Amino acid sequence: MTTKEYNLSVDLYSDGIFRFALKHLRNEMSANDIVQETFAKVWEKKDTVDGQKVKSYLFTTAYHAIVDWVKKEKKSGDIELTKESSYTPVVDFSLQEALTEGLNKLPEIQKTVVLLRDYEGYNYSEIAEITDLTESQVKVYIFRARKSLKSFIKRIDLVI
Amino acid sequence: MEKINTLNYESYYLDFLEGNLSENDARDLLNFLDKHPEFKVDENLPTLDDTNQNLNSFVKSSLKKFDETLAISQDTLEDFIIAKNEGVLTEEKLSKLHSSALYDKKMDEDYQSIKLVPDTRQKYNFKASLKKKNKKVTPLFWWAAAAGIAIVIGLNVNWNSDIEINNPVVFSEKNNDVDSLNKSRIKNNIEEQIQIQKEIKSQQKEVIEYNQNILKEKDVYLKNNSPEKLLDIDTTKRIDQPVQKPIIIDKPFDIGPIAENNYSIDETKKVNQEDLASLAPVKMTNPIKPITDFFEEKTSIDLDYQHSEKNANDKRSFKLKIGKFSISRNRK
Repeated sequence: MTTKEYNLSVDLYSDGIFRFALKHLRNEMSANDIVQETFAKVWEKKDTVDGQKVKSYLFTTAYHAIVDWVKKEKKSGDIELTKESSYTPVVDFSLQEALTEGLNKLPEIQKTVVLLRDYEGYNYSEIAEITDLTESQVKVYIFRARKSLKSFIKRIDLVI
Repeated sequence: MEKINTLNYESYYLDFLEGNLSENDARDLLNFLDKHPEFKVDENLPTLDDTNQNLNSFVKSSLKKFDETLAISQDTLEDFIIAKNEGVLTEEKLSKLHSSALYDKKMDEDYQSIKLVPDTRQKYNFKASLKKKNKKVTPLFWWAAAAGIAIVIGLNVNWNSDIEINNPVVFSEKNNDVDSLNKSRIKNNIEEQIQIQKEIKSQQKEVIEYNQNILKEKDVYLKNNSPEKLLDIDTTKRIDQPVQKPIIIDKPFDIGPIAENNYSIDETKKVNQEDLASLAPVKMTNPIKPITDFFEEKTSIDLDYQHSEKNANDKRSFKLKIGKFSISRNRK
């Protein structure tokens, strides 16, 4: 990967990785750290990374960094989940808010596959490559996550 | 002893939430949570049917994997609708789903809406700090090539002309031909010096002899025409008059060192004309411009070499510039 390709990947994918990390960690500072760490690792390996597959490589690196971060924070018992952000959602405020809440209740792996699917539009095989799962496992996790989210939305509807 | 207890229930719980628990283990976990409701994280977790100890339908369905080859039934309907919204359902199954009496439009619409939409206003604000400058790394080969050119140019320049005049001894240690040339020059200089001294001594001798002759003639004249003798005066009472004696040089002149610029008038004129000529601007050209341009492009280092035509003394000015380093010499 050339320097030009690397800089282009920063422009194209840093926002996506930031959002991906932010949804997992619900902490803006930690999400920034994940983005920085991800790109630093990719730069270190730039000679071996194919410029055409850099997006997949970036998200794989980001995913592993998030998993490590979660493990480390869980061990230290120091997880500080701040409000995700002060951004106002642009689409259907109530539904997206509810989905975000529901997403936060999902197991990490389900959250990951749903985010990669919905946010980045990856297909199952690409998600499998990023998360070190089989395509079949990815499918199962996505289906379960959809069901959980639907039941969560339904419960909120009932409460309202 | 129970398989699931307060020390290990967490791992079972996580596996259950992720759907990785076997049916038997899931049953054991739910049994455990029934006994210890304080460990329940989600109050909406399914409960076991106390009468038959079977997992309820929710748990069962959560443990199943979707199989598209199965028939559309009440149990599989939800999976087919999810598959439809995921875009992984074949055309055949899709038409079967829509034509099925079990098809639930409301459920389909619910799943259509369960799509997370990224908030594009959430942006990473430190992109500039991640970007790298395109630093051109010059391969070692090009440095070596540039150094080679510098050496070739250096060898092409007549470095010796000043050195052989100003510092013949030092230079003679390095060059035998010039050494012999310097020795002959020194020898000639000494011989010339001796010859000049001889000439000066002979001239001095002639002057001394001439003075002595004059004195002799004066003495003779005074002896024959003395006033005492002419006036017959007692010389013992006479006040001695100072006599101006001729200057007698009884030593050779201290000629000092021989002047270096022992020019004749014509030679001085010639030198002055050369000095004037040297004030005119010297025209410098780069005879290897294609080569320097090529290396300049390859290495991104300023590279320039220029020299003037040889002058009357077979000397030339030159200027060599490699990056910030430059060396030049004027030959006038």
